[in-house]
Amino acid sequence: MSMKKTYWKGLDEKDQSPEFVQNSNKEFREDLSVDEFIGSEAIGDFQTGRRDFLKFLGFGVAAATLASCETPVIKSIPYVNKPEDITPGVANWYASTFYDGNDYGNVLVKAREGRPIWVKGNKDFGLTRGGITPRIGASVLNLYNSDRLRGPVNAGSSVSWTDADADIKAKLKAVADRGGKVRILSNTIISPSTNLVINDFIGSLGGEVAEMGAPVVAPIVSDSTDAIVTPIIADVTGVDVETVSANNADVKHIQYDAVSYSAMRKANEESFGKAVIPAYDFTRAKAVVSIDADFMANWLMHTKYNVDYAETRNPEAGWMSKHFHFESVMSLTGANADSRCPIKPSEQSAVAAAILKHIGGKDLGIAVSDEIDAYAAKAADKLKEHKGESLVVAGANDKGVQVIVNAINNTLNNYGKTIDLDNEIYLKQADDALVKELVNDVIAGDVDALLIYGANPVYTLPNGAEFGEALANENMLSVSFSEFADETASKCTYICPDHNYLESWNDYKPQVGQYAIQQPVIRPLFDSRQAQESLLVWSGNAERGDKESKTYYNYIQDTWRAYGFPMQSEYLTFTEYWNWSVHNGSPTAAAAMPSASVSFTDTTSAVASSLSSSDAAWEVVAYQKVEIGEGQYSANPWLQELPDAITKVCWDNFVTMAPADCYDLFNITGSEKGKWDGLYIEQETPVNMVNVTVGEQVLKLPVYPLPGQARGTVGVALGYGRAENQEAIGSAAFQIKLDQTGDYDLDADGNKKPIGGNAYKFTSFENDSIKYFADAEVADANEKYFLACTQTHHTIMGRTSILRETNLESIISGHKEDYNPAHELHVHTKGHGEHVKATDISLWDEHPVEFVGHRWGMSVDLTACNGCGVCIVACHSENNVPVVGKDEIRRARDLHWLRMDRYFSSIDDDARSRWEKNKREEGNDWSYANLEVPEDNPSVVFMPMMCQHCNHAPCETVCPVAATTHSNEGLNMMAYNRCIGTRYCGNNCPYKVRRFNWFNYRDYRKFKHVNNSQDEMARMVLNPDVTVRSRGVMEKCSFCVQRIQEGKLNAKAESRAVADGDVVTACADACPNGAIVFGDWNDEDSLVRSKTSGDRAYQALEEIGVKPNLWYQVKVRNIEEAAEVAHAGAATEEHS
Amino acid sequence: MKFHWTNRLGVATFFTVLIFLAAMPVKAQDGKSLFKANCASCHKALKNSTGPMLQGAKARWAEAGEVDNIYKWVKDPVGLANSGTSPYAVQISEYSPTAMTAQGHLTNEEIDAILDYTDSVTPVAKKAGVSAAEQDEATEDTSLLWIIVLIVVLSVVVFAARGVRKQLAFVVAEKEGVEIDIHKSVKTKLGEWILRNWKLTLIMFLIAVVTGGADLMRRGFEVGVYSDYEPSQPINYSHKLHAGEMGIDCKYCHSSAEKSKHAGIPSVNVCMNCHENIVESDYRAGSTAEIAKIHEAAGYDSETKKYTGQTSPIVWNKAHNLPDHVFFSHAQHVNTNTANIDCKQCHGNVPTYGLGRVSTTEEINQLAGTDGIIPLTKPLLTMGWCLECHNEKSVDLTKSEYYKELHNRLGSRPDFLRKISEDDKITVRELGGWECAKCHY
Repeated sequence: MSMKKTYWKGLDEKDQSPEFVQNSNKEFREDLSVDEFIGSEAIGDFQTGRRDFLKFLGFGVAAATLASCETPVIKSIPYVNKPEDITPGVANWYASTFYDGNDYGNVLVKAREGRPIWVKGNKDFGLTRGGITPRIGASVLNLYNSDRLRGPVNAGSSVSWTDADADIKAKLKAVADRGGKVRILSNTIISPSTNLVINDFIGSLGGEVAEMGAPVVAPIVSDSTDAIVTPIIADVTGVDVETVSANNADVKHIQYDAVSYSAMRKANEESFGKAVIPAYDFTRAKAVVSIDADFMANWLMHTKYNVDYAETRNPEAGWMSKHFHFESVMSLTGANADSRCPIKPSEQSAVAAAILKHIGGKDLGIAVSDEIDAYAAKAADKLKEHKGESLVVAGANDKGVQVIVNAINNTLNNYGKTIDLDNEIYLKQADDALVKELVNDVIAGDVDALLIYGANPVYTLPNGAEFGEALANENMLSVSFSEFADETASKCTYICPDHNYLESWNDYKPQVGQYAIQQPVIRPLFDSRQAQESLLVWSGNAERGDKESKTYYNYIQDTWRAYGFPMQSEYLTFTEYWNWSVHNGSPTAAAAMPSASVSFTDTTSAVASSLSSSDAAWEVVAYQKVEIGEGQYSANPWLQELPDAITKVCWDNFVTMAPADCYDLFNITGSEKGKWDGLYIEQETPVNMVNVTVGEQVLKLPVYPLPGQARGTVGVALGYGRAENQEAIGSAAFQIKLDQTGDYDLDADGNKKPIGGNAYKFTSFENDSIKYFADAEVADANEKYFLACTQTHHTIMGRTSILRETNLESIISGHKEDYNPAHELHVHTKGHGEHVKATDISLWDEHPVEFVGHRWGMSVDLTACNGCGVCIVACHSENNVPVVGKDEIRRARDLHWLRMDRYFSSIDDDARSRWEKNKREEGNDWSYANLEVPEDNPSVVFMPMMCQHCNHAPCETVCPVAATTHSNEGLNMMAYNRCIGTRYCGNNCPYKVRRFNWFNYRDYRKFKHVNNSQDEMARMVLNPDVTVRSRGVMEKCSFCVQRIQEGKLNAKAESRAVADGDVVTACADACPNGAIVFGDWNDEDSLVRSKTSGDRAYQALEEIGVKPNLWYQVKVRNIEEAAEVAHAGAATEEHS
Repeated sequence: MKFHWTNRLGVATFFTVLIFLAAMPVKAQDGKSLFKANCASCHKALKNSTGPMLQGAKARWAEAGEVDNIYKWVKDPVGLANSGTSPYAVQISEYSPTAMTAQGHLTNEEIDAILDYTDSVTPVAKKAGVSAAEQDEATEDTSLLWIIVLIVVLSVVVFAARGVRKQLAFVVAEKEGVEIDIHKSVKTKLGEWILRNWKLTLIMFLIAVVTGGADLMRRGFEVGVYSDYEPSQPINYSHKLHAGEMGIDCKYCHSSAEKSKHAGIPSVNVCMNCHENIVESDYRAGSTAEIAKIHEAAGYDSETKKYTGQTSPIVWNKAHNLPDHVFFSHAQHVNTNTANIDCKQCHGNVPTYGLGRVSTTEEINQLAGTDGIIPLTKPLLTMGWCLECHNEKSVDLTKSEYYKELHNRLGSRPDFLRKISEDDKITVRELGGWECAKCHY
């Protein structure tokens, strides 16, 4: 039986649908949707008579001639007082911290002339070691969102801070005087100073001040309890504290997480007597089992776990962690797992119980299917093999599952080794029971004053709508600190807008002994005020400051002077300590030592009896996508345009469904083309829509057939359906018409349609914790919908040699020739066939780049790359890549210079091919269940694909105007001002990485709501070092030539040779896992040189002889089964 | 050789002038330059500044009965105040917390000269005049008007003469009995004329096409060429005064030239380093008013010497404009470790300019040979000009560690090294200075 691995990006490619075959033969899909265009009512607008046309033509020519004659006067405005540390034209970097209740990351922010323009992870300091998500990378654009509130708002109209303060203070006093209920509803606060501020605020209203430990405690705590200090920071500002009343008002601070981990804390309380979330150490875990915990992109401290995990995935180190994943919707983590098992969400406890049983723990007697049990047994074998060096994590917000997982980890002796209960993390502190109580109180009208900070409960609560109605209660003072008049804020009495994180000072304590400072990078753009300062003002601890207010800054400094400084010995003066803390972004902290003593209380039997199971036909999972997360930044066009890591869909929310379920639900049998429409995603074939019903909530969404989705489940991403009631959260938050007008797509009432539906409506409070899946009904809506999906765009026709993968075993004991052989070609030099290495023959003379000056090269490690997309956002913002919107993406006109190709793969064997063929034919048996079907559970490879900077570039030889040429540093240069837009180069590019700039994105109406350069605020994010390209030119990855020039210049100015790190492309700079390495290939000591001469290095499409300056490293999985791996030798035969 | 009378007159005049010059208050002349060199940074003649005003200083010391102490004071103010012998010295040392800098090198005569000069200064009546540039413009306008009037008058005369000639022709024709079709249109007449003189027409047409085309091309090449461009500016600044007469280094004001791609227009606070004290000037008419504009921008009250905080940026007109798609870095060209090119290579002899302006190639070529200036032919700020220089300029591969490393690498490619060093120099072009992505991205 011949066995080879086939790679496919979508079902249409796998099945070779006619549209796919037709389109993939074209470099540019030019078919306009004619029906839609002619049918459009707007066509009337475009009618132009012949005479009019000639008039315009004549006038245009005349105007252009006149305009070119006059020299425009260009203004230049220098600073009045130039800040000392700014040199115009030179970027400044600031260390700061990103935290929004969901993502936490130590970041470095690049600022040009005082404008933050680029964000990356801080690899030198801080807990997260450079780990960021696309959301953090794109966060700089949120700062420039034009819809941010310009000042405080009362009942929809703007007020002054003075009036707002006076009124709010008076109302709070009145409430406190009568002993009313005051509630602060916030996301999880991990800022020591903010906690002190909130405590002060509670105290000032006569509320019960929480018993607090010192907000900042050095990790090496002495055994005495002296370290616990009651904070006294009343003298911060020197303003007298006005005590409101002595009668104990009922003031409480409730923390609320939209995606909650409340059950985890409860489970740990039950098992260990501590309601904590422990620190996980993925770097030591040789076997990882995750039950629906997407720890690379969304679960807890994912920014850190992602980096830690990548460290264990280095085949050169001699070992790799073995990763098993159980989940319903394919997540980023699941896609990277060595072994992935699709399960229903209700089966999570059963999976956990099965693992517990197989590792020799208690048998809880929960039944599970044989197939899943086999997976669980395999996982358990590995876990047993690595006792004390393994890790089992679960994502479920379900105490039962978490208690069983605790038992597993305890049995495996992981506590004190890979799990540290003593050095807990402080993220996600919400207690869902308290949240539920508060929500019920608000709905019942029992709360007199509600302050909402960092949370959007009307959008995220299961019963958000009801909560929203209750906010309208006139007897209740409701204050929001939101930056936007969002779903919740717009219903509050007052909105006192907080600064953006790039305008704020703050301090953070994400984990015991780990601290971070957030410093502002720009002066506040609007008349906003930091929430902490508002609270200080209202509690009478400070006077209202102006734009330059240092109130909270001084407060933080005082906290650190009182607590942080005495706990360290590195710095002698506080100023020095503080300045270095701010400079590095994190105050010094010694590494915490895990303690080994754990007393585990086994309650698994008790929870097992209370576990619920489901026998519903459909279960719906509300999951988080890598791009949108909890939905705070749904209006960020960079995130919307970033193709989803797994599905490659842009600008949309959809229902993920197993392909086999799709065939059943939409009754797809036989081979007629029409039947498969709606399943294949093409420009002109809309997809099917379904109605997903949970209780009374119905969402009608398009279906994306997702290979690897568990049968009987559907997934709907959270974070969509924002601004249902037209709230102003940003212009890109709504659906745009799929035509040239660029107008919003309005519903029958003339309202803007939100993008997708709000999956939070499917969540519910169950057993006092929020549950993110539910039994559902799924029905064909008999409607079609256009999805914009890039998965089969830029397909490299049938050239499978682009990908190479192998397993760890071959790397350790095999030879390069086995898993990464050089490509050989047949030649007929002497009349008989011969095999010659593809690199040995060439049509062209060698390009003189070797050893002449620099030769810029890149290495992309397919093993370290997890497909998260941080590089794409980094490239987008570094290179001013225009946002083109959904309609243009649908036409395959996305402009991403760097794309992340996601390939599904499965072993192709003759038997299955036969079966595949048969099943299309009418009347064949559909229940052929035992045969592996590729789309049931494929493995996934991510491959970043950008310009390969070929030394024998096919694009260069065909350009009629020499707009693209080769540099003696190995760069494939693109001179936009020379390009006349023939697109011949794109046509000739074997990698399909050249992009045509179709429109004047900066001015054309089609992009008015999506393109950030059409907005006078969002335009400020543009990188001044890179040209904003005009319409009609080709563009592509330049290897960040502006950074190359800068790095070279710095070396020249300092009179030294260019070293590693001087020149780093944006993608390599931002990549959390070091998958991309860039440098001077001619420097024999450079990292890129050693990487590219390693055994795993290969060049994509080596056989065509274009000699790229980009090397890939073979993807390595930690799998044993021979059948799971396709040796490259077999794959490369494909072309012959 | 005998003296011609005019020569004798010349010699006489020369001596007369000499005698007059000798008789004139030479001291005051010296005093002015001594004052400018030693005192003007803190003192003014007519106004209190960092130090008190100097007019009447001698009289005030005399009034205090310490007229001789003034010399000691100037030479060693702190010593005098501390000596306890001079109460007036103690009194005036309280004028400012900053002690006066001792001017021990001045002689008593020189001090006298300075004080005599400051006593002789009279306040300049502020001229409500227009600046020189504006006056020029006004004259230009008037002359243009005159030309237009002249053209109109001449055309009237020509048309009248033509009309008269035509009438006369009619009269003659009538007399001779020739019938003239007065209704024949101009078009028909023109057509007939062309048919009669088709050769001439053809030649004229060809000449028109060729000259017109050539002119269009020439103009086309001038589009976007900024050579000799000197935009007006909100402040009538003079490089001639600052960089020329005062000798201030270019990089004092354009301070980021060595660090950044922009040389930078100086921020107002840089101007204020000097103009906090230099509040008036008799450099040319209206100079004081121009300085006042800096003070307004900086929010500086020159009377009270305090900053009000009411700042307003100065909006300059940019003279050196590159298109957006061109990257140019001053640091790359100016820094001593990089190309280390003299500013004059691209900006010409700026110390002789008034406002900032784009120099012409000819002007720069006049400087060729000095300070390594390379003569070029293409107009400034065009790509041809850049490339021309990159083709000429040689790179010293032994100069810095960066280039030494490049040189080492070339060691393994002797063929390439031989090729590029054929003409005994390695030019910027040979190291990639003609590549698109050096400047376009």
